[in-house]
Amino acid sequence: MLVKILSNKYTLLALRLVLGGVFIYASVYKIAEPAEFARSIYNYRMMPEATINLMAIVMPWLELISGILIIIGPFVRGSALLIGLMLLVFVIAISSAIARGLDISCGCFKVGEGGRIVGLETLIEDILMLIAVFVILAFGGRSFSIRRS
Amino acid sequence: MKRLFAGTLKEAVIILVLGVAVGLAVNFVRKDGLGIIAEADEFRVRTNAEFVTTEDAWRLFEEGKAFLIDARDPASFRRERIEGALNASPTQAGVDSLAWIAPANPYVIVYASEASQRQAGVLADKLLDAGFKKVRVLLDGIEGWKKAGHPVEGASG
Repeated sequence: MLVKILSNKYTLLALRLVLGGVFIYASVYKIAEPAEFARSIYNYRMMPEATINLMAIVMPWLELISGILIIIGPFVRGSALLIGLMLLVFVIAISSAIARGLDISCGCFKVGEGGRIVGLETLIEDILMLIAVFVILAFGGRSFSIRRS
Repeated sequence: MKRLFAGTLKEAVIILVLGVAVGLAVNFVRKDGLGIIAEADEFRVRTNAEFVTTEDAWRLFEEGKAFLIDARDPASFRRERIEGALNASPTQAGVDSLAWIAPANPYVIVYASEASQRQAGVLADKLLDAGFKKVRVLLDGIEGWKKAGHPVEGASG
C-alpha cells in the first residue's frame, strides 16, 4: 500500500516540487550574499578555511540548478542524487554543530544576521527531505518531466 | 539496475560540472565576487576595539568596572548568558539602548559565541562610533568564560 502511494506519479511530482522549491528558494540569498554564506560555512568550523569560498561560490548554484532540474527534468534522478548528497552534508554539519553546542545561523535559507539558528528543527527538515530523495531515486521521476530520466 | 545507477551518476556529474562552471563564471564577473581560495584571516573578527582575555574581563567584572554586553541573538541570550550581562543587537537601536551606560564610563565588554564573534566586533565598533571609550571584545566569547568556570545564567542553566 505504502509502496503504491510512494510510487504514484502525483506523489513523486509533489515530492519533486517540494524539494525543487526548497532548493531554489535556499539558493537565492546565498547567490545574492556569497560573503555572508561563506561566513555561515566558516561558523560550522568543519572545513579548512582555504576551501570555504569555493564552497560558497559553487554550492548555491548547484542548489539552484538541481532545484530547477528536479522539477522540470531532464536529469530528475541526477538532481535527486546531488540534492541527496548535499542534504547528507547538511545533516552531518548540523548534527555536529548541535553536538558541539554551537549557536550559529544554519545558513539554510536567509544567511547572516537574522538567519535561523541550527537546531533539531532544521535537522529534522533535512532528514525528511533526504527521505523524499530516496523515494524519488527508488521510484524514478519519469512523469511530468521534459525528458524521461 | 547497474545501468540506471550509472545513468544517474552521469547526470549528477553533468549537473556538478555545470554548477561549478556557472558558479565560477558568475563569481568572476560580479563586483563582490570572492577570492577562490580564502585568505588566512578572511573570517577573523575585524574590529577597532581592543580584545580582552577572559581573566582580565573577570577581574574588571569583579571590581565592578565593566558592563558585559551580549551581542548574540535574543534567543541565545535567553537560553544562556554571562551572569548580569545585557543583550543588545549589533544595530543602531541596540547601541541606542545602551546609551545610559556611557556617563558612568566603565569598561564595556562585548561578547558573543565563538562562532558568532563577528557580531561582537560589529557591536563594539558601533559603540566606539557612538562615543563609548573603553570598549573591549571578549577574546574567547562565552565559551571561554564558561570554560574558566565563571558564572552564567539563563533558561538552560
